Amino acid sequence: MIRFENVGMRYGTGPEVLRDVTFELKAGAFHFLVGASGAGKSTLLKLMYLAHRPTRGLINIFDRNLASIPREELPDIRQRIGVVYQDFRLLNHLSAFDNVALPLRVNGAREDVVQKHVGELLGWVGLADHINALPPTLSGGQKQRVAIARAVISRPSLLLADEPTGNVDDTIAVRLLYLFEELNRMGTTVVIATHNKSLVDRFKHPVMRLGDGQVRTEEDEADWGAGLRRDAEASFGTKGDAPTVPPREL
Amino acid sequence: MAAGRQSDIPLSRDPSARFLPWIVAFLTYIAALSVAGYLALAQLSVDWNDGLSNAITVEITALEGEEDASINGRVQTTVALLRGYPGVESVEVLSRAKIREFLEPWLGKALDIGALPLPRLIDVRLSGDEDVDVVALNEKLAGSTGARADDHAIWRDRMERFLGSLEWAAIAIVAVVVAAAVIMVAFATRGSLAAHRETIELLHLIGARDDYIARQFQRHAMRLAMIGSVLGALAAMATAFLISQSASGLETGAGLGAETAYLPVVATLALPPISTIVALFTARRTVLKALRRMT
Repeated sequence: MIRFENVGMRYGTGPEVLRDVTFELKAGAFHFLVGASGAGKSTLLKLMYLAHRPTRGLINIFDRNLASIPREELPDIRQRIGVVYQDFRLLNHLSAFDNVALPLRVNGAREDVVQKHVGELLGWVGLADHINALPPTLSGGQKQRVAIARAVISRPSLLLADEPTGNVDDTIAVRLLYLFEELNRMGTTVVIATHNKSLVDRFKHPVMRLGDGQVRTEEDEADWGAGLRRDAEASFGTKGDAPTVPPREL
Repeated sequence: MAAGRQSDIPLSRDPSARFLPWIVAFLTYIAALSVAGYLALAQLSVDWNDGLSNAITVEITALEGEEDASINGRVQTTVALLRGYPGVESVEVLSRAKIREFLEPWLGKALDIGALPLPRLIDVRLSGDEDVDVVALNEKLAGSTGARADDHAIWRDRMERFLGSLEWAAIAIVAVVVAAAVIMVAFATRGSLAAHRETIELLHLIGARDDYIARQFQRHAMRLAMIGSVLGALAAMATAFLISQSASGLETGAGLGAETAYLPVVATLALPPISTIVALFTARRTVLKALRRMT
């Protein structure tokens, strides 16, 4: 699905944010990406959703070498990637419906298909009553759900989420994770960057730990769990308390 | 994108949405008046030329101390010679009343035509079936009655040169106006690109192709140019109408009236579609060029 080999990334002439990053995600995988603030989680995700090209190293995505993909073919690749941005990146002049519909429309979907799928999905994430609402009138949690709906509307092969539960309460956070798991069961590869230790503990998925500009997966260290917990204690702070509500189906 | 749906990029809120139609309106107004002015003059020239190309004016100047009877005799001889000349259709001696009519707009109604040493004038209409050699005719007239024939060739040459200059001036004005429109649309589009950079980046990341993004800009520029050019065209038509109204009151005999009034209308009707197409392609090219530099 996606493979990084000795990838390095620096902004301008600054220091390397990522260096010699090497890992591989198999199709259908579900990973958490954790690390201290400023460790480079967002940069790593940006490389994965093709917002940046690496300074060095090799990125293979959907069995294609990123360096050899011509610019005209990038939209095809990007249409297979759904992204939940940390700051939502919703278009404030568009309704919740039109925001969610964007990936379908840029892909040339027929309007009747758009109407059907977007309406269903907004209902599924609990925003059926806010279809025509503009983002500035929505709460943080509602915006987040619009952003998530937009990321998953076109059934992406790869879903990347940057702190998707950062602005929602624990109940919603757990529901969203169930939604991601549901998508994962349907074949979507999921990577979630999070500070939320309780979610990482609760949903038993492999963890990619980012520190010192490098990524370590559980295969890299036998005691990854202990390492993760050590690292998480240092990086999560008080933000990641366990959800107080039991998990439930979406 | 469905018709009537909100554009993904909120271009209608840009400052360019407010000033661009007015600039296009102004440029269209200038271009329309330039083209219309040229077309009206060119049409007048054609009318004048048609009137003169099949006509010769023969003048007989009175000799010093010559009696009326003598000059009348020369006129009659000239008329007889002309009537028998190949290619001549009709010959008419202009009466003093007719000459007074011609001169009145310039010299006024109080004109005492008898006090002026005016030549006798003969209006000769040619059939157009065969070329008339004016040089040979002049030689023949000079040898018999001392009359002189004028086929207005000098005047027509000068008019042709003048119209040629006007044509180039009109082309130059239209070229400058089109260049100014292209520059303004390109600047406005670049401004919008900078203002909406984040939205464009997001659309790219969602998988939008450059063409999808460019279509939104070109549609926006097209709409603004259409509004502006229609406003400019209407203003130009109103101005042309006022000019033709005031020209119809002039006693020049030039005919700057109803018969040429449709030309500005034709010129101005052609400009909105042209402005719209220019805006569309300028915006599209500007956006595609800028997007190619983005990731």
